[in-house]
Amino acid sequence: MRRALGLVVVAAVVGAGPLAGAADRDPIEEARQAAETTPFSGVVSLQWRDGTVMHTEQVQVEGADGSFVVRGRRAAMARGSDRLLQESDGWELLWPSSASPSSHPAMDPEYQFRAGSGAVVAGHPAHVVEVRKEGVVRERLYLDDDSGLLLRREQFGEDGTLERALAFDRIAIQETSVTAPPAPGPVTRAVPQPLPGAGLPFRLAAGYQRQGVFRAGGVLHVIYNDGFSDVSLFEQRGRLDRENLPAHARRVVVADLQGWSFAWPGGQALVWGAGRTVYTLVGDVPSDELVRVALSVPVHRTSSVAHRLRQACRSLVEAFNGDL
Amino acid sequence: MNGHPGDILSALLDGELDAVEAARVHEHLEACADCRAELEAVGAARTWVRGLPPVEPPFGFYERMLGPVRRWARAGVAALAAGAAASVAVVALSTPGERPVAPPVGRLVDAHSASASTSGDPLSEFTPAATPASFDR
Repeated sequence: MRRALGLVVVAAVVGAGPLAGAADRDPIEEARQAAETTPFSGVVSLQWRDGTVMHTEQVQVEGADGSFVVRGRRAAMARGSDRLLQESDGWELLWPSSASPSSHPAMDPEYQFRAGSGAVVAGHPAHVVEVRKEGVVRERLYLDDDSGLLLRREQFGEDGTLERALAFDRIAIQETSVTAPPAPGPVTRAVPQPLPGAGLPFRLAAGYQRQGVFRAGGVLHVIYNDGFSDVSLFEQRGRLDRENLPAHARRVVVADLQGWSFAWPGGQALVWGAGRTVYTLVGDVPSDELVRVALSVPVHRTSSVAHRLRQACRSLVEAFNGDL
Repeated sequence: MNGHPGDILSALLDGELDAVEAARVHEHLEACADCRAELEAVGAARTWVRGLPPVEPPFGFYERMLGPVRRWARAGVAALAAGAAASVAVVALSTPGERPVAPPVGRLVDAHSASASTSGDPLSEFTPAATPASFDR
Protein backbone atom coordinates (compact mmCIF):
# COMPACT_ATOMS: atom_id res chain seq x y z
CA MET A 1 0.00 0.00 0.00
CA ARG A 2 1.12 3.49 -0.59
CA ARG A 3 2.51 5.83 2.03
CA ALA A 4 0.05 8.70 1.62
CA LEU A 5 -3.43 8.38 0.30
CA GLY A 6 -4.88 11.14 -1.79
CA LEU A 7 -7.68 11.60 0.68
CA VAL A 8 -10.47 10.68 -1.66
CA VAL A 9 -12.41 9.68 1.38
CA VAL A 10 -16.13 9.74 0.86
CA ALA A 11 -17.89 10.33 4.11
CA ALA A 12 -20.75 7.90 3.88
CA VAL A 13 -21.07 7.57 7.57
CA VAL A 14 -23.31 4.71 8.46
CA GLY A 15 -22.85 4.96 12.18
CA ALA A 16 -22.30 7.92 14.45
CA GLY A 17 -19.84 9.48 16.86
CA PRO A 18 -16.15 8.85 16.23
CA LEU A 19 -16.57 8.26 12.51
CA ALA A 20 -17.19 11.91 11.80
CA GLY A 21 -13.51 12.68 12.19
CA ALA A 22 -12.40 9.66 10.17
CA ALA A 23 -13.27 11.13 6.81
CA ASP A 24 -10.62 13.83 6.92
CA ARG A 25 -7.78 11.58 7.98
CA ASP A 26 -5.50 9.52 5.80
CA PRO A 27 -5.94 6.01 7.25
CA ILE A 28 -2.78 4.44 5.89
CA GLU A 29 -0.56 7.35 6.82
CA GLU A 30 -2.30 7.38 10.21
CA ALA A 31 -1.58 3.66 10.65
CA ARG A 32 2.01 4.04 9.51
CA GLN A 33 2.75 6.88 11.89
CA ALA A 34 1.05 5.05 14.73
CA ALA A 35 3.11 1.91 14.10
CA GLU A 36 6.27 4.03 14.19
CA THR A 37 5.47 6.08 17.30
CA THR A 38 3.20 3.98 19.51
CA PRO A 39 4.50 1.29 21.86
CA PHE A 40 2.32 -1.80 21.56
CA SER A 41 2.39 -5.53 22.07
CA GLY A 42 -0.12 -8.20 21.27
CA VAL A 43 -1.19 -11.32 19.46
CA VAL A 44 -2.22 -11.16 15.82
CA SER A 45 -4.25 -13.71 13.88
CA LEU A 46 -3.60 -14.15 10.20
CA GLN A 47 -6.23 -15.74 8.00
CA TRP A 48 -5.84 -16.50 4.32
CA ARG A 49 -7.81 -18.44 1.77
CA ASP A 50 -6.20 -20.82 -0.66
CA GLY A 51 -8.84 -22.18 -2.99
CA THR A 52 -11.65 -23.31 -0.73
CA VAL A 53 -9.48 -23.77 2.35
CA MET A 54 -9.14 -21.02 4.98
CA HIS A 55 -5.91 -21.10 6.98
CA THR A 56 -5.28 -19.40 10.32
CA GLU A 57 -2.08 -18.71 12.20
CA GLN A 58 -1.14 -16.59 15.21
CA VAL A 59 1.96 -14.49 15.77
CA GLN A 60 3.21 -12.22 18.54
CA VAL A 61 4.00 -8.60 17.77
CA GLU A 62 5.85 -6.03 19.83
CA GLY A 63 6.92 -2.58 18.78
CA ALA A 64 8.28 0.74 20.04
CA ASP A 65 10.46 3.63 18.87
CA GLY A 66 9.96 2.98 15.17
CA SER A 67 10.82 -0.72 15.32
CA PHE A 68 8.76 -3.85 15.70
CA VAL A 69 9.39 -7.54 15.79
CA VAL A 70 6.97 -10.30 14.79
CA ARG A 71 7.49 -13.79 16.17
CA GLY A 72 5.77 -16.67 14.45
CA ARG A 73 7.38 -19.75 13.01
CA ARG A 74 10.30 -17.39 12.50
CA ALA A 75 11.02 -13.80 13.50
CA ALA A 76 10.71 -10.78 11.25
CA MET A 77 11.89 -7.32 12.27
CA ALA A 78 11.31 -3.81 10.97
CA ARG A 79 13.85 -1.20 12.07
CA GLY A 80 12.95 2.06 10.41
CA SER A 81 12.70 1.10 6.75
CA ASP A 82 15.07 -1.86 7.08
CA ARG A 83 13.41 -5.28 6.92
CA LEU A 84 15.12 -8.27 8.47
CA LEU A 85 14.33 -11.98 8.72
CA GLN A 86 15.72 -14.44 11.20
CA GLU A 87 16.89 -17.55 9.41
CA SER A 88 18.48 -20.62 10.97
CA ASP A 89 21.94 -19.06 10.70
CA GLY A 90 21.05 -15.60 12.00
CA TRP A 91 19.47 -12.36 10.87
CA GLU A 92 19.38 -11.37 7.26
CA LEU A 93 18.77 -7.88 5.93
CA LEU A 94 16.12 -8.59 3.33
CA TRP A 95 15.31 -5.02 2.33
CA PRO A 96 17.45 -1.98 3.18
CA SER A 97 16.02 1.46 3.80
CA SER A 98 18.04 2.72 0.82
CA ALA A 99 15.83 0.66 -1.52
CA SER A 100 12.59 2.27 -0.36
CA PRO A 101 10.83 4.32 -3.03
CA SER A 102 11.01 8.06 -2.54
CA SER A 103 7.65 8.77 -4.17
CA HIS A 104 4.52 7.04 -5.39
CA PRO A 105 2.34 7.48 -8.45
CA ALA A 106 -0.95 9.28 -8.24
CA MET A 107 -3.68 7.02 -6.97
CA ASP A 108 -5.67 5.18 -9.57
CA PRO A 109 -8.86 7.28 -9.99
CA GLU A 110 -10.91 4.11 -9.62
CA TYR A 111 -10.24 4.12 -5.87
CA GLN A 112 -12.80 5.37 -3.38
CA PHE A 113 -12.67 5.42 0.40
CA ARG A 114 -15.68 5.42 2.66
CA ALA A 115 -15.86 5.75 6.39
CA GLY A 116 -17.90 2.84 7.70
CA SER A 117 -19.59 2.15 10.98
CA GLY A 118 -17.55 1.88 14.16
CA ALA A 119 -16.32 -1.39 15.58
CA VAL A 120 -14.50 -2.81 18.55
CA VAL A 121 -11.33 -4.83 17.93
CA ALA A 122 -9.61 -6.63 20.80
CA GLY A 123 -11.47 -4.38 23.21
CA HIS A 124 -10.47 -1.15 21.48
CA PRO A 125 -12.96 1.16 19.73
CA ALA A 126 -11.99 1.54 16.09
CA HIS A 127 -13.07 3.53 13.08
CA VAL A 128 -13.56 1.68 9.82
CA VAL A 129 -12.49 2.75 6.34
CA GLU A 130 -13.81 0.84 3.34
CA VAL A 131 -11.56 0.78 0.27
CA ARG A 132 -13.22 0.34 -3.13
CA LYS A 133 -11.68 0.02 -6.55
CA GLU A 134 -13.84 0.12 -9.67
CA GLY A 135 -16.86 0.09 -7.40
CA VAL A 136 -15.95 -3.19 -5.67
CA VAL A 137 -15.08 -3.37 -1.98
CA ARG A 138 -11.44 -4.40 -1.81
CA GLU A 139 -10.56 -3.87 1.84
CA ARG A 140 -11.81 -2.78 5.24
CA LEU A 141 -9.37 -1.10 7.59
CA TYR A 142 -10.09 -0.90 11.33
CA LEU A 143 -8.02 1.81 13.02
CA ASP A 144 -7.75 2.37 16.75
CA ASP A 145 -9.64 5.54 17.65
CA ASP A 146 -6.98 6.73 20.08
CA SER A 147 -3.66 5.78 18.52
CA GLY A 148 -4.51 5.17 14.84
CA LEU A 149 -2.90 1.72 14.89
CA LEU A 150 -4.30 -0.66 12.29
CA LEU A 151 -6.06 -3.24 14.44
CA ARG A 152 -7.75 -5.27 11.72
CA ARG A 153 -7.44 -5.45 7.97
CA GLU A 154 -9.74 -7.46 5.72
CA GLN A 155 -9.15 -8.08 2.02
CA PHE A 156 -11.87 -9.35 -0.28
CA GLY A 157 -12.06 -11.10 -3.63
CA GLU A 158 -14.03 -9.79 -6.59
CA ASP A 159 -17.10 -11.70 -5.45
CA GLY A 160 -16.97 -10.25 -1.94
CA THR A 161 -15.55 -13.32 -0.23
CA LEU A 162 -12.96 -12.76 2.46
CA GLU A 163 -9.54 -13.61 1.03
CA ARG A 164 -7.27 -12.50 3.86
CA ALA A 165 -7.54 -10.93 7.27
CA LEU A 166 -5.06 -9.74 9.84
CA ALA A 167 -6.41 -8.81 13.27
CA PHE A 168 -5.19 -8.24 16.79
CA ASP A 169 -6.77 -10.79 19.13
CA ARG A 170 -5.14 -9.06 22.09
CA ILE A 171 -3.25 -5.81 22.21
CA ALA A 172 -1.80 -3.49 24.82
CA ILE A 173 -1.26 0.03 23.53
CA GLN A 174 0.93 2.73 25.08
CA GLU A 175 2.29 0.31 27.67
CA THR A 176 5.44 1.94 28.99
CA SER A 177 6.99 -1.45 29.67
CA VAL A 178 7.21 -2.19 25.95
CA THR A 179 10.62 -1.32 24.57
CA ALA A 180 12.09 -1.42 21.09
CA PRO A 181 13.41 -4.82 20.02
CA PRO A 182 17.16 -5.07 20.50
CA ALA A 183 19.33 -4.65 17.43
CA PRO A 184 20.07 -8.01 15.85
CA GLY A 185 23.55 -9.44 16.03
CA PRO A 186 25.58 -10.09 12.88
CA VAL A 187 23.45 -9.47 9.82
CA THR A 188 23.86 -11.03 6.41
CA ARG A 189 23.36 -8.49 3.67
CA ALA A 190 22.08 -10.13 0.51
CA VAL A 191 20.38 -6.88 -0.36
CA PRO A 192 18.83 -6.05 -3.72
CA GLN A 193 20.81 -3.86 -6.07
CA PRO A 194 18.93 -1.07 -7.85
CA LEU A 195 18.97 -1.15 -11.65
CA PRO A 196 17.87 1.20 -14.42
CA GLY A 197 14.45 0.34 -15.78
CA ALA A 198 15.42 0.36 -19.44
CA GLY A 199 13.47 -2.14 -21.48
CA LEU A 200 10.91 -2.85 -18.77
CA PRO A 201 7.30 -1.72 -19.14
CA PHE A 202 6.48 1.45 -17.24
CA ARG A 203 2.73 0.79 -17.01
CA LEU A 204 0.77 -2.38 -16.47
CA ALA A 205 -2.99 -2.91 -16.36
CA ALA A 206 -5.23 -1.69 -13.52
CA GLY A 207 -3.31 1.56 -13.06
CA TYR A 208 0.05 0.10 -11.96
CA GLN A 209 3.22 2.11 -12.62
CA ARG A 210 6.81 1.02 -12.25
CA GLN A 211 8.39 2.19 -8.99
CA GLY A 212 11.76 0.50 -8.95
CA VAL A 213 13.89 -2.24 -10.44
CA PHE A 214 16.24 -4.38 -8.38
CA ARG A 215 18.33 -7.50 -8.74
CA ALA A 216 18.93 -9.97 -5.93
CA GLY A 217 20.25 -13.49 -6.23
CA GLY A 218 19.98 -13.50 -10.01
CA VAL A 219 16.31 -12.50 -9.97
CA LEU A 220 15.03 -9.25 -11.41
CA HIS A 221 12.47 -7.63 -9.07
CA VAL A 222 10.27 -4.92 -10.59
CA ILE A 223 7.95 -3.09 -8.22
CA TYR A 224 4.68 -1.61 -9.49
CA ASN A 225 2.25 0.54 -7.53
CA ASP A 226 -1.24 1.86 -8.32
CA GLY A 227 -1.13 4.55 -5.65
CA PHE A 228 -2.49 2.18 -2.99
CA SER A 229 -1.21 -1.38 -3.53
CA ASP A 230 2.12 -2.83 -4.61
CA VAL A 231 2.64 -5.79 -6.88
CA SER A 232 6.06 -7.34 -7.48
CA LEU A 233 7.03 -8.83 -10.82
CA PHE A 234 10.02 -11.18 -10.67
CA GLU A 235 11.76 -12.26 -13.85
CA GLN A 236 14.30 -15.03 -14.32
CA ARG A 237 16.02 -16.21 -17.46
CA GLY A 238 15.22 -19.82 -18.35
CA ARG A 239 12.29 -22.15 -18.81
CA LEU A 240 9.88 -22.89 -15.99
CA ASP A 241 10.70 -25.88 -13.83
CA ARG A 242 7.80 -26.57 -11.44
CA GLU A 243 10.02 -28.14 -8.81
CA ASN A 244 9.67 -25.37 -6.23
CA LEU A 245 6.02 -24.59 -6.87
CA PRO A 246 3.64 -25.50 -4.06
CA ALA A 247 1.88 -28.83 -4.48
CA HIS A 248 -1.45 -27.05 -4.06
CA ALA A 249 -0.75 -24.52 -6.83
CA ARG A 250 -3.71 -24.29 -9.21
CA ARG A 251 -3.38 -24.24 -12.97
CA VAL A 252 -4.38 -21.00 -14.60
CA VAL A 253 -4.10 -19.67 -18.11
CA VAL A 254 -2.22 -16.42 -18.68
CA ALA A 255 -3.12 -15.40 -22.23
CA ASP A 256 -2.61 -18.75 -23.98
CA LEU A 257 0.18 -19.77 -21.64
CA GLN A 258 0.00 -22.20 -18.77
CA GLY A 259 0.58 -20.76 -15.32
CA TRP A 260 0.16 -21.65 -11.67
CA SER A 261 -1.52 -19.70 -8.90
CA PHE A 262 -1.25 -20.07 -5.15
CA ALA A 263 -1.87 -18.12 -1.95
CA TRP A 264 0.35 -17.44 1.00
CA PRO A 265 -0.48 -15.55 4.25
CA GLY A 266 0.30 -12.19 2.65
CA GLY A 267 -1.34 -12.51 -0.75
CA GLN A 268 -1.52 -14.29 -4.08
CA ALA A 269 1.15 -15.32 -6.56
CA LEU A 270 1.10 -16.27 -10.24
CA VAL A 271 3.94 -18.11 -11.95
CA TRP A 272 4.22 -18.63 -15.70
CA GLY A 273 6.86 -19.09 -18.33
CA ALA A 274 7.00 -17.44 -21.71
CA GLY A 275 9.81 -17.82 -24.22
CA ARG A 276 13.09 -17.53 -22.40
CA THR A 277 11.71 -15.98 -19.21
CA VAL A 278 9.97 -17.22 -16.07
CA TYR A 279 7.65 -14.66 -14.46
CA THR A 280 6.39 -14.61 -10.86
CA LEU A 281 3.82 -11.94 -10.02
CA VAL A 282 3.05 -11.36 -6.32
CA GLY A 283 0.58 -9.03 -4.62
CA ASP A 284 -2.13 -8.73 -2.00
CA VAL A 285 -4.77 -7.78 -4.54
CA PRO A 286 -7.77 -9.84 -5.73
CA SER A 287 -6.73 -12.72 -7.94
CA ASP A 288 -8.58 -11.46 -11.03
CA GLU A 289 -6.71 -8.16 -10.80
CA LEU A 290 -3.45 -10.09 -10.52
CA VAL A 291 -4.36 -12.01 -13.69
CA ARG A 292 -5.20 -8.73 -15.48
CA VAL A 293 -1.84 -7.34 -14.50
CA ALA A 294 -0.12 -10.55 -15.64
CA LEU A 295 -1.85 -10.38 -19.01
CA SER A 296 -0.47 -6.89 -19.54
CA VAL A 297 3.15 -7.97 -19.04
CA PRO A 298 4.78 -7.97 -22.49
CA VAL A 299 6.46 -11.34 -22.97
CA HIS A 300 8.87 -12.80 -25.49
CA ARG A 301 7.13 -16.05 -26.27
CA THR A 302 9.85 -17.86 -28.18
CA SER A 303 13.53 -17.67 -28.85
CA SER A 304 13.86 -15.65 -32.04
CA VAL A 305 15.25 -17.31 -35.15
CA ALA A 306 17.96 -14.65 -35.22
CA HIS A 307 18.95 -15.51 -31.66
CA ARG A 308 19.09 -19.25 -32.40
CA LEU A 309 21.13 -18.65 -35.58
CA ARG A 310 23.46 -16.33 -33.71
CA GLN A 311 24.00 -19.03 -31.08
CA ALA A 312 24.51 -21.65 -33.79
CA CYS A 313 27.10 -19.56 -35.65
CA ARG A 314 28.90 -18.87 -32.41
CA SER A 315 28.96 -22.60 -31.64
CA LEU A 316 30.38 -23.37 -35.08
CA VAL A 317 33.09 -20.74 -34.73
CA GLU A 318 33.96 -22.05 -31.29
CA ALA A 319 34.09 -25.57 -32.68
CA PHE A 320 36.55 -24.53 -35.39
CA ASN A 321 38.60 -22.67 -32.81
CA GLY A 322 38.82 -25.82 -30.72
CA ASP A 323 36.80 -24.30 -27.89
CA LEU A 324 34.35 -27.18 -27.79
CA MET B 1 26.35 -10.58 -15.76
CA ASN B 2 29.49 -12.65 -15.82
CA GLY B 3 32.07 -11.33 -18.28
CA HIS B 4 31.48 -8.87 -21.06
CA PRO B 5 28.38 -9.07 -23.23
CA GLY B 6 30.38 -9.40 -26.48
CA ASP B 7 28.14 -9.98 -29.47
CA ILE B 8 25.05 -9.56 -27.29
CA LEU B 9 25.68 -5.85 -27.86
CA SER B 10 24.73 -6.39 -31.46
CA ALA B 11 21.52 -8.12 -30.36
CA LEU B 12 20.83 -5.21 -28.04
CA LEU B 13 21.09 -2.79 -30.96
CA ASP B 14 18.79 -5.07 -32.98
CA GLY B 15 16.22 -4.97 -30.17
CA GLU B 16 16.31 -8.76 -29.94
CA LEU B 17 16.88 -9.04 -26.20
CA ASP B 18 14.08 -9.58 -23.76
CA ALA B 19 13.62 -7.23 -20.82
CA VAL B 20 15.68 -9.31 -18.38
CA GLU B 21 18.63 -9.67 -20.69
CA ALA B 22 18.47 -6.02 -21.80
CA ALA B 23 18.47 -4.89 -18.16
CA ARG B 24 21.51 -7.08 -17.47
CA VAL B 25 23.39 -5.61 -20.40
CA HIS B 26 22.46 -2.06 -19.43
CA GLU B 27 23.62 -2.79 -15.89
CA HIS B 28 26.96 -4.01 -17.23
CA LEU B 29 27.28 -1.03 -19.56
CA GLU B 30 26.87 1.35 -16.66
CA ALA B 31 29.96 -0.08 -15.03
CA CYS B 32 32.12 -0.99 -18.05
CA ALA B 33 33.65 1.77 -20.14
CA ASP B 34 35.18 -0.76 -22.58
CA CYS B 35 31.78 -2.18 -23.44
CA ARG B 36 30.27 1.27 -23.75
CA ALA B 37 33.02 2.08 -26.24
CA GLU B 38 32.39 -1.21 -28.07
CA LEU B 39 28.66 -0.52 -28.22
CA GLU B 40 29.40 2.90 -29.65
CA ALA B 41 31.83 1.42 -32.17
CA VAL B 42 29.38 -1.29 -33.26
CA GLY B 43 26.65 1.30 -33.61
CA ALA B 44 28.93 3.61 -35.56
CA ALA B 45 30.05 0.79 -37.87
CA ARG B 46 26.46 -0.15 -38.63
CA THR B 47 25.59 3.44 -39.36
CA TRP B 48 28.63 3.75 -41.60
CA VAL B 49 27.89 0.54 -43.53
CA ARG B 50 24.25 1.44 -43.94
CA GLY B 51 25.30 4.86 -45.18
CA LEU B 52 27.48 3.51 -47.99
CA PRO B 53 26.12 4.20 -51.46
CA PRO B 54 25.15 1.16 -53.54
CA VAL B 55 27.84 0.14 -56.04
CA GLU B 56 26.83 -1.06 -59.49
CA PRO B 57 29.18 -3.70 -60.98
CA PRO B 58 30.64 -2.87 -64.37
CA PHE B 59 28.85 -4.14 -67.46
CA GLY B 60 29.48 -7.88 -68.01
CA PHE B 61 31.00 -8.46 -64.54
CA TYR B 62 28.83 -11.42 -63.64
CA GLU B 63 29.25 -13.06 -67.05
CA ARG B 64 33.03 -12.72 -66.89
CA MET B 65 33.07 -14.06 -63.36
CA LEU B 66 30.93 -17.08 -64.04
CA GLY B 67 32.03 -17.82 -67.59
CA PRO B 68 35.27 -19.66 -66.95
CA VAL B 69 33.94 -21.60 -64.02
CA ARG B 70 33.28 -25.16 -64.95
CA ARG B 71 30.06 -26.88 -64.16
CA TRP B 72 31.67 -29.19 -61.58
CA ALA B 73 33.17 -26.22 -59.76
CA ARG B 74 29.81 -24.53 -59.52
CA ALA B 75 28.29 -27.74 -58.24
CA GLY B 76 31.06 -27.98 -55.67
CA VAL B 77 30.49 -24.45 -54.45
CA ALA B 78 26.77 -25.11 -54.25
CA ALA B 79 27.39 -28.30 -52.28
CA LEU B 80 29.70 -26.49 -49.89
CA ALA B 81 27.16 -23.72 -49.39
CA ALA B 82 24.40 -26.24 -48.80
CA GLY B 83 26.59 -28.12 -46.36
CA ALA B 84 27.40 -24.95 -44.44
CA ALA B 85 23.74 -23.97 -44.32
CA ALA B 86 22.78 -27.46 -43.18
CA SER B 87 25.45 -27.36 -40.46
CA VAL B 88 24.17 -24.06 -39.18
CA ALA B 89 20.60 -25.38 -39.21
CA VAL B 90 21.56 -28.60 -37.43
CA VAL B 91 23.52 -26.73 -34.78
CA ALA B 92 20.71 -24.19 -34.41
CA LEU B 93 18.17 -26.96 -33.88
CA SER B 94 20.41 -28.92 -31.55
CA THR B 95 21.51 -25.90 -29.50
CA PRO B 96 20.29 -26.72 -26.00
CA GLY B 97 17.30 -24.68 -24.84
CA GLU B 98 17.27 -22.39 -21.86
CA ARG B 99 18.21 -23.87 -18.51
CA PRO B 100 15.34 -24.92 -16.26
CA VAL B 101 14.47 -22.41 -13.56
CA ALA B 102 12.51 -23.23 -10.42
CA PRO B 103 11.39 -19.89 -8.97
CA PRO B 104 12.31 -19.66 -5.25
CA VAL B 105 8.73 -18.74 -4.43
CA GLY B 106 9.22 -18.56 -0.65
CA ARG B 107 12.06 -16.12 -1.12
CA LEU B 108 10.11 -14.07 -3.66
CA VAL B 109 7.05 -13.61 -1.45
CA ASP B 110 9.36 -12.54 1.40
CA ALA B 111 10.94 -9.94 -0.87
CA HIS B 112 7.49 -8.68 -1.84
CA SER B 113 6.35 -8.44 1.80
CA ALA B 114 9.48 -6.50 2.70
CA SER B 115 9.31 -4.06 -0.20
CA ALA B 116 5.54 -3.52 0.05
CA SER B 117 5.79 -2.84 3.78
CA THR B 118 8.06 0.13 3.18
CA SER B 119 5.44 1.89 1.09
CA GLY B 120 2.27 0.82 2.90
CA ASP B 121 1.27 0.00 6.45
CA PRO B 122 4.40 -1.74 7.79
CA LEU B 123 2.61 -3.85 10.36
CA SER B 124 0.01 -5.52 8.15
CA GLU B 125 2.31 -5.87 5.14
CA PHE B 126 5.32 -7.34 6.94
CA THR B 127 3.67 -9.50 9.60
CA PRO B 128 3.02 -12.38 7.14
CA ALA B 129 6.81 -12.71 6.73
CA ALA B 130 6.88 -14.33 10.19
CA THR B 131 4.67 -17.15 8.90
CA PRO B 132 6.68 -18.60 6.04
CA ALA B 133 4.30 -20.33 3.70
CA SER B 134 4.60 -24.06 3.52
CA PHE B 135 5.31 -24.86 -0.09
CA ASP B 136 5.99 -28.55 0.46
CA ARG B 137 5.35 -30.71 -2.55
